[in-house]
Amino acid sequence: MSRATAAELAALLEPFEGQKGATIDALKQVQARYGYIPEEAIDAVAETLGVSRNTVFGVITYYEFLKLEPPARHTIRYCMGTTCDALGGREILQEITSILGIRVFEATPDGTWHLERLPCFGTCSLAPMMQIDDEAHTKLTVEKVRRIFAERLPGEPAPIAGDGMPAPSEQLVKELEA
Amino acid sequence: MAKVRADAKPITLTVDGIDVTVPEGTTVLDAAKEAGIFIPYLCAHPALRPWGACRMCMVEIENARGVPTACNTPVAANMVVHTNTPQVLKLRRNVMELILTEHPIGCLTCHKRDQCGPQETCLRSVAVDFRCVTCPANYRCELQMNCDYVGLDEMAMPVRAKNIPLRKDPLIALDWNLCIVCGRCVRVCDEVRTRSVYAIVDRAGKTMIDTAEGAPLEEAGCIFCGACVDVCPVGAIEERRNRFAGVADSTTESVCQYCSDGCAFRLEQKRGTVIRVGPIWEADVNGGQYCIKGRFGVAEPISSTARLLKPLVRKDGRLVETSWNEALDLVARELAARAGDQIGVIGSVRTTNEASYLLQKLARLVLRTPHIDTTGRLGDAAGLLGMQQVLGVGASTVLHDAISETSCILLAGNNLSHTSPITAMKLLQAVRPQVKVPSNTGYFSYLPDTSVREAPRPKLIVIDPRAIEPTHYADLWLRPKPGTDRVVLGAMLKVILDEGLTTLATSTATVKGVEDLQESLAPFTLDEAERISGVPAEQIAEAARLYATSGPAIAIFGRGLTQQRDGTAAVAALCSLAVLTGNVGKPNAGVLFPVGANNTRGAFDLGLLPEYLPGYEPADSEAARQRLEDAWGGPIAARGGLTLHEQLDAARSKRLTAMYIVGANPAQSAAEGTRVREALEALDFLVVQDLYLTETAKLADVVLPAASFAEQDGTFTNAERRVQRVRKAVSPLGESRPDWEILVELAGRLGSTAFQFVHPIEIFDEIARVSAIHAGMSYDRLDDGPLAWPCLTADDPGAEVLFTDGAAFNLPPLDPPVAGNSPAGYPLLLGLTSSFQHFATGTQTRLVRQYAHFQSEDRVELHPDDAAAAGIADGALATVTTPHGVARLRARVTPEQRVGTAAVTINFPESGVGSLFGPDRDPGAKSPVFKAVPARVSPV
Repeated sequence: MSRATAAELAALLEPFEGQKGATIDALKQVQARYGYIPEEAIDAVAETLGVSRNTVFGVITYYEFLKLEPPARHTIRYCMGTTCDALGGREILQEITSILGIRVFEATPDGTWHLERLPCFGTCSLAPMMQIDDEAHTKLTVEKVRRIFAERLPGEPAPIAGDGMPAPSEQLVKELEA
Repeated sequence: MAKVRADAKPITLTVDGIDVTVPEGTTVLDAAKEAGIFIPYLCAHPALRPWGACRMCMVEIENARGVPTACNTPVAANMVVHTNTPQVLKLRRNVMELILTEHPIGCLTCHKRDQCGPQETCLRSVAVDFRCVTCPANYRCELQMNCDYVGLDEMAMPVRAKNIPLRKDPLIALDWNLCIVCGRCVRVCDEVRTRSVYAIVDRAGKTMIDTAEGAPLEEAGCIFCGACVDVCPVGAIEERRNRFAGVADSTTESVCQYCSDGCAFRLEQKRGTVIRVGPIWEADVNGGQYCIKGRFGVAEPISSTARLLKPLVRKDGRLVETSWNEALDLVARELAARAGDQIGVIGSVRTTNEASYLLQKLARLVLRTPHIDTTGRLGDAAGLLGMQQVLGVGASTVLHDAISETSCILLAGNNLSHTSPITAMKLLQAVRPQVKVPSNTGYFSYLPDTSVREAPRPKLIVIDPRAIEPTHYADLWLRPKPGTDRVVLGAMLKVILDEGLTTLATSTATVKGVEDLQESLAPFTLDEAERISGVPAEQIAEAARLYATSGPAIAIFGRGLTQQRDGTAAVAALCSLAVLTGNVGKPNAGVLFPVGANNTRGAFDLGLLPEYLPGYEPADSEAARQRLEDAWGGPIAARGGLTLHEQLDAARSKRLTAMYIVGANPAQSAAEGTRVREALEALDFLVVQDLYLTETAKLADVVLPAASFAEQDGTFTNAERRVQRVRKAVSPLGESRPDWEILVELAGRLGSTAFQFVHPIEIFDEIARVSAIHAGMSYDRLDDGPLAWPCLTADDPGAEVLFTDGAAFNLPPLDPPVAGNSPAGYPLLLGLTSSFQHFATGTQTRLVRQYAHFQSEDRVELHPDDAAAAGIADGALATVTTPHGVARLRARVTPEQRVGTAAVTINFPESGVGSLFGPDRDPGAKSPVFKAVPARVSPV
């Protein structure tokens, strides 16, 4: 992720010069380019549009899709549905947070992992489950979670196939059909 | 509230069975108010546009869908509104409960609140930070009043404590735990003050007001105007000082004592002390808006322990306390012995009109001395005389509100944000980027479109070597070398005359001297102007064309012009520019002259200067002198009065042997600091009348303690020529007495019978008899609002725009342009600058303890390049040397400064900044030169 340079931002925001009403459009452009709103872009947007830095910050914090943090390289989506929970999901989630040293909806300081919680994947037969990016990891136990992250930590070695399940959606469909 | 157009047609509707007729565009809330019916509200506010967020003002309207909010529903013909049906009352209670889930409610639902004090043990065991009785806003809280009105005696919903840590900002105490997110602070800071320091941050349950990333207010761009404090309905945003002083015993409407904007406010008094100032939303001049000085700097200095409480006389070289009788007898004896032209009188630009008038009357009639001047000579006399030369009147020709309706603004040499913050606010409101997409499309589309200015955004031309706030929005920024403004203005005049862009505002106006002026402009070619001023020729030409052809234009000048060596001529050139382009004598166009202090205007108006008698009658006109002698019943002093610095020179040469100085501090503020002290020390007898022991008072033989503006009745005249009433809010501190009363006592002891006044109202009546421009004014009329002079008869509404009936203008020729040459070894040009929180010599503003957060010593400001060349880091001590003196100051390195220039502030006595400026005088106004002084800066 490159840092935003003044020249880049100037070019990006040029069409919005002096347009107080275009704050959201300008921020969307910035986010599309960098994946998030870098600190220096807040100043640039404020300066170019003629609004205050505080107003821009207020807009960013209002909209969920506008991010102040750079996106993590890997997103963990952990299921918080009833079945996963009943099958020990809470202990497993606690294990993940202690391994990564972050809480839910936070990213690790090095920007590798972002932990999210989703209501339900609708695959209770495979509970407890989580997704790392597009890979599904099913029928989790504390042991299994330790193994998954032991292979991946530190850094991010070559992707591993979760449970030997390549494309999760197809796999899930198959399993469910079976 | 929604802005209503002047030509709106009347609409009749029924509110709770009462028929009421209001102009189209009025909201239902305002119409109900008109009908005498109260509708509760929290997010609406008289200073703000409707928002419709808090839902407290819901009403039922027959044939309308749902329960609309009254604050943003416009009236319609034959509308039938019900404000208190059972359904509305129930809904309001529900809304209030929802609001209160995020606000401490310990006392709000308690029936014993009125019998409870902050020290009491709570029978409900409510935590201290959850009570009303321990909240700074108790009994001043709109939420509390609304809650009582809707009658909420129990809460069905759980209340969440937010536990947000308190912040440490100076002057303003923010406690978000008390915030109800009504958005008033966010809106006033954006809509009115153009700062947008606050934003609504985050969403849903976590929504809160904050600055970007929670930054301290100062870093978030706050100018500490206090607008958020005044609009906050609860205790979330409070003035830090006297935060827990509670409700005032009484309030008095008065006028601010700092700059010449003349903002009206309420002085809130408790047990004989002014605890805070409060807003007057309907104030004509400022509409309830203030600045850091007026909002936070008024109450503390007037109740300060630094105030003089008893008269002082010098005995054995020391000033010791004495009685009024002894002090006044001594002053009368010493002055009587020297009556005639051995006495110099320096008056104040801060005292009331009544005191200014009496002081010059005492000087001219009783002391028989023509040597009368004020410290207005240091900055504003050149403006007065330059405007007088061309226009015949030395004051703003229109009200400053014209800024918001004009098509072009030329701002020359005035850092308005510091010197006249409310005029600056009006300017920034007009020129800042406008929302191109109207914000009330969609949901609010049925409201009249008030968010977008009707007039197109005016063009802004700034002529200033320094980067100031308006330069940020300028269409054209001319950045001349200091001291060359006259050359730039001369070149603009030449462009306008050469290209035939001249026009006249009214057919009845006559203009003399155009040919001579044109002839004298021959050497002011664009190339020559570029060579001397450093401003590109095409910019000068473009500025001239823009100013001449944009439509009605306003020119504003200030000390950047008047404190130059040719200040008077520069002001005259600016006025000639306005006359030739037809910008004098019609609405929304004119020349604005924001003078230095609250009553500089009044001091000039009432003849507290050697050139004029009261009402701008020339001091050497025989007819005028005769009229004054008839009115006063005695002969007045001879002609030939000396100005401030001439008086000081005369004191040094023993031509003057005594001086009477009222509310002025020349020992700190005048040029040639050390020589001014020599002059004052050389006097046989020096009387100083002041609130504090200033640097000047420390040299006096007798010091008379004067009462502050809050302790007396009177009038101030602001820069717009508007006379406003000042009212007594508290009794004078100690034995101090109002200036007019001291002068009356003294005149009596000097044997005069022409000072038989027992109240300022009698003095004002005499002013109205003596000064033609005040003839139609009286305290009775001023109680209804400000009046602008000339006000000739008792039914004259006052002249808000001058010269509408024509006038005779006289354009003086310009002297040839000369390039300033600095002596070798002085690479920089030094000028005096202002700081945003301190006023003049800082005698009063230094007493506001929290201002030390921003600045606690005088400083020299340098451009990074010059600082690097001299080897000076930001915040390091530097020695500033001019051919006249040396001062040691801390440096502030800032790109606001033009390369090759330095600026110093003059708010602290110990720095000795006055000695940096020398004996050079502007030949027009005989005022000292405070701009473009050769200087060098070196590390200590």
